[in-house]
Amino acid sequence: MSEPLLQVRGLEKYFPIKKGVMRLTRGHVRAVDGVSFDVREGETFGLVGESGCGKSTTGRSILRLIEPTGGQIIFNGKDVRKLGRSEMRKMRRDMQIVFQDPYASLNPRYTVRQILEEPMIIHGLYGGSAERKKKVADLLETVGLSGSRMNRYPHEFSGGQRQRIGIARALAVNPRLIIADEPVSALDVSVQSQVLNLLDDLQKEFGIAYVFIAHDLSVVKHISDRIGVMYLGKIVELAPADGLYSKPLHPYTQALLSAVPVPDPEFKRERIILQGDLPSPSKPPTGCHFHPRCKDCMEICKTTAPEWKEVEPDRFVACHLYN
Amino acid sequence: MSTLLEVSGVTTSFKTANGFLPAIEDVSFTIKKGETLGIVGESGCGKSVTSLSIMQLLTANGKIERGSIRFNGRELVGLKDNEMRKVRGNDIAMIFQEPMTSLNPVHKIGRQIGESLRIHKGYGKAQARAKAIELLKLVGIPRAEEIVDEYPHRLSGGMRQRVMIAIAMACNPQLLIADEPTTALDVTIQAQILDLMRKLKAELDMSIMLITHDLGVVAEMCDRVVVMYAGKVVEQGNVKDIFRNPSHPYTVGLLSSIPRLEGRQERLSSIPGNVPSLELMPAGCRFASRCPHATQRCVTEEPSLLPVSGEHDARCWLMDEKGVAV
Repeated sequence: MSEPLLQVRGLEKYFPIKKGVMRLTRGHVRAVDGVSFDVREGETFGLVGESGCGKSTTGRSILRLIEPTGGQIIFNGKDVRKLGRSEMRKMRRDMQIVFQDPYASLNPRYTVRQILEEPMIIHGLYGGSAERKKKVADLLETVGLSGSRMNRYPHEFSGGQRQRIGIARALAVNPRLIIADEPVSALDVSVQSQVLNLLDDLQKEFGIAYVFIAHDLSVVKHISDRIGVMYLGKIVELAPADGLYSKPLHPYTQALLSAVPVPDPEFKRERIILQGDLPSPSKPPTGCHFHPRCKDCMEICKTTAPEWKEVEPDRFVACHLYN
Repeated sequence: MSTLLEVSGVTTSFKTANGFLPAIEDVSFTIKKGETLGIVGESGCGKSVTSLSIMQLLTANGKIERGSIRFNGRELVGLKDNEMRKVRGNDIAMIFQEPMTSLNPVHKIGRQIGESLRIHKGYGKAQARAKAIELLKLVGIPRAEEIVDEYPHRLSGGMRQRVMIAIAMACNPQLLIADEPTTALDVTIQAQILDLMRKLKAELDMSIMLITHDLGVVAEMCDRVVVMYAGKVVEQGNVKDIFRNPSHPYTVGLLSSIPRLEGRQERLSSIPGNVPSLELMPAGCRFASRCPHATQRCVTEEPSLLPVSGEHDARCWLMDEKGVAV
């Protein structure tokens, strides 16, 4: 297989905790703590986990919207962390992001046309204004909105339509990778399915790769080819979407899957109810981060962090049960 | 089973720049003793307005225009404020979606749980505190003796929702209205809270009205379901009928647009378009503009709730014996 489009190796983002009058650093919040994965050309990589697990920080660190504190990000053969500001800006033409909140991520004072033209102007695409206007109309049609509405403002659109505008903005520069950070979690189910289908269509048409970040397992499973499950700043399991669902290996993945309510009143299953809450990422538990809530916890789990291992072809897990 | 709550023909309107507009219209349903009723629908369908109408917690620009709400046979609409206050928190309790904002940040947990006990049951300070500790243990909070003296910001989201439930449980209500109780929580925490609600319902023999947009939660928790769309009840029935034989095209669309964990779907089906706004409510069926089966009759004439089978009704001309071709 050819070189992956994006390679993330040991990505780290530690936020300092400052205390006292002198604002001295008294520890770190390890939001992302050694995350590694590949995204292949034209595939969807899902990143799933509960709030505070570091999935959004991972997404933003890849684009360097948050500056990572360690690790390597290789995009298209280039080490993204070594690029200067202007080079980074050029690189972002190929890597775009779609945000969660369709209400907050569009400038309310810009018309849709201005919003979609801005990235084209920054990257010097499509020559003159007439050409850009044509492209804006095309983009709106691509995401299922009427091109005639380009002179309207974001508030004139519904939530689902705004999310389409956010996607059109990401598409404006013909990216090869889109990081979609909870793109459908603010939407109602009937509208959510419209947007998921749109993302699917765009991938088929333009061969864009996605890093799809979400907390909803059913949504992630539906859209992704491969999925990484995050817990407290680390990926604990990585597997193809179908395999992850039919045979979850890590006890956390098992608990997470069993907690999802199934829309079928006659569906029966054994539910694993996790005790307690997510520990604070500033004071993660020793050994395996998941051990205090794990039903299969062994002595070794309390002291030694498990290794990240490929246990079956294309299936990775960090758990002592499989060592 | 006897009827605990009977809502019939309730229309609640809100004052807007264009005069009073109804957010819910002619809403009717019943909740039996010991039953969990689910109210499902997407944002803006009127499910929260329905619960606020029952509790009479509407904002100043809203009012119940028509209809009756009977609790244990007693009419609640038109009750004086101080009479209603005796019902609220005592006979009917409510928990809200946002555990972060529905607790008072400047009062200790114990005082917030004890408040309704002191008001409704005339408990003294020490007695209320002791009962608060007992309630915290009931909802599964560890170190209840310490937590009772903590402020809400010290607790996580799941713990705060447990405290909200403890407050609601304080006076042994006969009806618990839960408005999206787990929407703001992570799925593993949601599983804990739903489990707790099921356990309390069995132990304390109460009824639950569960408002949610999540059909998975409905399937898991509810005995009967009311589906709302654009301020109207469009379908109701017991949970198996709704999931096995959804009859209103909106319910059908909703059920088929959720991604499933099991199996592989190439493409999700989706409902085109959006919910009509309050100002531009169509004259006929409110779902007609998005409905794959809509006919001329649907555009001009609004269907009433028509029987599908037994206690299963749908507001759709497809259910009419004469059919839609008329």
